Amino acid sequence: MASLAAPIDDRAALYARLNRRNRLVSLLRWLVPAGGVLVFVVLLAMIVIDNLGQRFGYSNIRIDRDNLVVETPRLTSTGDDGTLYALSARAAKVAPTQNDLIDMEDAVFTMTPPEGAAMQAEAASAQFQTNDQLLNVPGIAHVTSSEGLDGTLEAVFADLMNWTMVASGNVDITMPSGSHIVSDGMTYDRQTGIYTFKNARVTLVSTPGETE
Amino acid sequence: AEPVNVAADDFTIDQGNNNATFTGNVTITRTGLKLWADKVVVLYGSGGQSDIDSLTATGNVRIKTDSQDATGAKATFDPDTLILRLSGNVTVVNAQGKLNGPELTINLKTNSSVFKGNEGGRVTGVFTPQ
Repeated sequence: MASLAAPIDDRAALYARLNRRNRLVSLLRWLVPAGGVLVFVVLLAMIVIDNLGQRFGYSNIRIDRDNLVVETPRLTSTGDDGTLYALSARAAKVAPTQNDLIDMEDAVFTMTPPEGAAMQAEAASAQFQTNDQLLNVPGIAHVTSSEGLDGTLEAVFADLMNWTMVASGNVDITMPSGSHIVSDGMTYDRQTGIYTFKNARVTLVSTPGETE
Repeated sequence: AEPVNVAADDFTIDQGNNNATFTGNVTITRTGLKLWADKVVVLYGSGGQSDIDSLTATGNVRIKTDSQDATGAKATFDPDTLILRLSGNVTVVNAQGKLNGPELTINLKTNSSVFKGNEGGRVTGVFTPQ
C-alpha cells in the first residue's frame, strides 16, 4: 500500500512545485515590463532634471532597442547677456549606458542675441553632451545669419558653456558684405569676438572704395 | 568693380576692435596688381566688414604691376582715394631701370604711379603705363 501512497506524495510535491513556478511566472509577467518602465522613468527624470536650468520639450518619447528615443526634442536656454540659445532635432537617442550623451538627427542650433545678428546652424547628425554642454558635429554644418551670412563648416566642436567653437575641416563662408572666405579650419571665441581662419583665401567682391 | 583676392596662412577677424589681420605669406591680387607682405592689417569703419577704413601691409612688401616691380618696408591703401602708397627704402624696377626713393604711390583709379625721388622729395619719375 505504501508504494501506492508514495506516488500520491510525489504528485503532491510535483503539484506544489508547479504552483510555485506558476506564481513566479505570473510575478515576472508584470515585473519585467515594470522594470523597463522604471528604467525609462529614471532616464527621463535624469534628462529633465539635468536641464531644469533650461526649458526642455519634446513631442514623444519611446524605447527603441535599449535606446531612449526622444522625438522633436527642443532645449532652450538664456545666456547671462540675454542671448537665447535653442537646440532642437527631428529625433534624439539616448543610450541607458551613457545618458549624458544625446545623438541627434537633423539638429538645428540657433543663437539669438538681444542685439545683432541671429545665427543658425543645421546638421544631419550631431551629438550633445549635456553635462559639459559640448556639441559635436562630425559632418557638415550649414550656418546662416539673419544678416545674410551663409556657409558650411566641417567637423565642428562647440563648447556652449564657454562659448568657443572649432571647425577642423573645410570652411566655406560668404559674409553679409559678399566677401567669400575659404579656409582649412576656423575657430570662434564669442567672449572675445575673434574668428581665426587657417590657410585662408578671401575674395572681396570689389576693391574697397571702388564705387562703380 | 574689381574683385580682390587675399590669401594668407592665418586670417583673424576681431569683431570687438573692428579689425582683421592676415599673417604669413600674404598675397593680395587684383587685375594688373599683386602685393606680397608678411602681414596686412585691415581697419574697419563703423559699417563693419564692408566698410574698410584702411589697409596696411608690412614686412617684405612687394608690389608688382604691369609696368613695375617695387619693394619697400610698408604699404598703405586708402579706399577714399584708391591710392596705394609704398614707403620705406623703396626700390622700383621698370623699363627705365632700377630706382630708389622714399615713396611710390599707385592710383588704382587712374592706373598711374608717382615715384618720389630722394633729393628733397622732388618728383624724379612719373610712370604712366601705355
